[in-house]
Amino acid sequence: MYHSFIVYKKFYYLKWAVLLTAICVGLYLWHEPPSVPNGGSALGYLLGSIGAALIGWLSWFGVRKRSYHSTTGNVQGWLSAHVYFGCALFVIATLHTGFQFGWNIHTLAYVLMVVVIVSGFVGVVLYRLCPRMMSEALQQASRREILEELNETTANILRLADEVEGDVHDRVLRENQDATVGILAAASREDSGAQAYTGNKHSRKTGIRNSDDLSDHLYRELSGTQSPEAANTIRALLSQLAHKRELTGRIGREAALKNLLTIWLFIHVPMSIALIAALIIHVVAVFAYW
Amino acid sequence: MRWHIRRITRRHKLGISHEDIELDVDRIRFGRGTDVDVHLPDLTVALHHAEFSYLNSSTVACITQSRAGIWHRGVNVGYAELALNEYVYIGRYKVTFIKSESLADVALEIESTHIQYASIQDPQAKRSVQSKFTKRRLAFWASAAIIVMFLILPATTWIDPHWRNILRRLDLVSDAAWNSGPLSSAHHILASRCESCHTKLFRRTQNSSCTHCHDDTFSHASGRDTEERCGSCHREHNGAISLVETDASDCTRCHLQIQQSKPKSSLAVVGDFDINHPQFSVALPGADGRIIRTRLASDAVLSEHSGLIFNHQAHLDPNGLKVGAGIEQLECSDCHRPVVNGTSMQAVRMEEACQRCHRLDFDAATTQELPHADGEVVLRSLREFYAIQALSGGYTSYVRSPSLSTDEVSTISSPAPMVPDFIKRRRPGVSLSEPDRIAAHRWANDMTKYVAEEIIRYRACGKCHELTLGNNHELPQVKAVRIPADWMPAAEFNHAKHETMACGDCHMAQSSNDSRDVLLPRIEMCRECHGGNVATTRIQSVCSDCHRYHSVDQIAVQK
Repeated sequence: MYHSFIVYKKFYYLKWAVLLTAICVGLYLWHEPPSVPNGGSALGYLLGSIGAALIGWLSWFGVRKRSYHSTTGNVQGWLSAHVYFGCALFVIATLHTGFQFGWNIHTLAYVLMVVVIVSGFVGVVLYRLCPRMMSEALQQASRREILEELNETTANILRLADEVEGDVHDRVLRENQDATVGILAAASREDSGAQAYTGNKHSRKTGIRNSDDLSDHLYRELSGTQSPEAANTIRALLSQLAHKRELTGRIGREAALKNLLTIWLFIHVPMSIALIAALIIHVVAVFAYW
Repeated sequence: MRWHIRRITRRHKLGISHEDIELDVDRIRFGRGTDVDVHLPDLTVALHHAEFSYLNSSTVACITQSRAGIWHRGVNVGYAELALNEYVYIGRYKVTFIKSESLADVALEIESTHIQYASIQDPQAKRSVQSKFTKRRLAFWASAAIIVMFLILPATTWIDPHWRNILRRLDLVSDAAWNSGPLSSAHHILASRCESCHTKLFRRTQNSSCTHCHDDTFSHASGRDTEERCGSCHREHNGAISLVETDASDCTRCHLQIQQSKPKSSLAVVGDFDINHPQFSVALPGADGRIIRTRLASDAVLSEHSGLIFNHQAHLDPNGLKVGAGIEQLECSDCHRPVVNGTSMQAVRMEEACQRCHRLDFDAATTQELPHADGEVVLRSLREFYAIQALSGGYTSYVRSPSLSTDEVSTISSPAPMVPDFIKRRRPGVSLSEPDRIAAHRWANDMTKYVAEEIIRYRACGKCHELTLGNNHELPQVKAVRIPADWMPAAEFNHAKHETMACGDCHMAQSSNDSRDVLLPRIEMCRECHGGNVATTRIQSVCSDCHRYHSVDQIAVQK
């Protein structure tokens, strides 16, 4: 039910938002403004007031969703209304501008509002798509299960590698450094935050290359070895390495998708705060130079 | 070189235990193999993994022989120099360079960390706290930048004019950022001088700001100071559109309920040209000689008393008029000529419009015409002509000019004065005797009066002018001509804008045979093309299309 805020109560808030938008559009079409359509006409002030009230209320969602003891509706309902009235705001604020734009604080406030709304759209789309893609990536397993399996596989790899002659163990360690999820990468997390967990772009690439190098090396070893036990060990090692790559790929995809689910908020939330600042200045400036 | 090695084991609830050894080697080797100085028995460590060497009392170097490398400051490296209390990871072992508490030169602390190969912990839990780009920080800095640039800096322009000028050179961070839109072209020079109109913050622009320049602009109804805000009609900051493009509602705000704001006013209630606009109130010369404003009516018959007698219908006869030897068909524009810019019509002048046909000749003895002028001037011209005839002689008898109609001449009772013989014939070089001179003078006066009466009453003046007849001995007087200079004083009609129309579309001159007919069109005629404020099939017409708010006449008078 990941998209249930969209159909919440059979589109209850969608209907109200459409009604509000339709009334505003109707007023705009009916209104005969003195001179040109303008935020300063009577209807302009009305639309501006509705828009400002909507912005205030939409921002309050950030507070409401953290108020776990609040009894005014449930968060799902609030989110549903937040999304639909956010769309209505876009239309109402655009009508308020009278389609007059310029290099000024007024248009800046409008642009910030558009950025916030568009990033919100992106959020809605991501919330519709990502969870399904995340569970597809994990293939029904939970993240904890995969991580446990990954640890087990890595331990197996290191144990098997130590049984092989030559510098195979050393090469395996090397590969671990660069792999998406590796013991030392995990260790480095204390120093560099989460980057080591998913690996940066560079280490992901070199990880794959080293992993290929390691496999090549192991195949060479396999063809050169005389001992059947050693050959079995190498085969087992290759199989474990392949398994690890597959696990790493799954957990990496899932992590990347999970990141996407929060990244849009880094635009949506700060820009909405900036929008409130710009909105207040917009109102102050309009009445300072009345 | 003496190395102090301390191995730490953390035990849950039991605190920390440690095990110390000291070694005396140049370089100390770490690994999983058996031939190293410090044995690290975990599969995450290579057989020969790394070596530490002493650089100075506060620095040690760590170099690795394994492909696995070591982790230093979050980066996988092959070589690292450690300052005091810095650490590197060798496999799952954290090796810290610590201050030596014993006699050893260098001390290293080794701690086995319980790091999983992959962390089960959600990596994003700490992320937003640790990263520099937190939502809170972004929000703070974006808002702070906006507040400083677009609120605080612009607001400081009101503190000091010099500072204001400096800021305005930077444009966006000055109060230019508060500009809600470009100024009209007339006021464009004020674009960067907000204070020239916005004299007080949080107060609407005052009329005094406008009259600072526009002090000659006249008010509309009441005194200028008590009048509406200029800005209620002239809306600025809407770009290059004209400031005079006013909306009908600007006017109808008052004029729809004029009786409430001006109870004594005789003005009609006006809302929309199509729905509630009264008939035009035109300037008409009344029977008593005064020009009075009269409201046209669609049914009532009005008459104007201009003092002229004119038959439009006869002059516009489609069969043409006899002019000299030929036939000519007159058109409106033969007499009615527009002023230079075509907006209105010139006054019709007799010399230009009529005299070509209606000649003012008076005596067949001469081709001279009388001037179209006051009675005094006409009489003087006549007297001069006959006096000269009397003095120079050779005038035989009075014969009427053939171009003049003779219909009514028969009603003149008395015959023309007899021409004395000494005026008819005179021997050259002989002077007139005193009695002859007196007789000549009398004859000239008699002729003047005789011809004048005939001309005024029947032949020339009286044809077109209404006359006041005196008693038997006095000449008739021509009544003053009263044609309003402006037929519609409260409105402006522009003939040039209506050049696609024919004159007869609005003025019913073709069927008018009486100069008392009022040929001004009624409002119904205008409404055939002009609709109201929201007309869809006709021209949308607002108040300002015909009416002016500020009286232009007053400006002209004052200048």
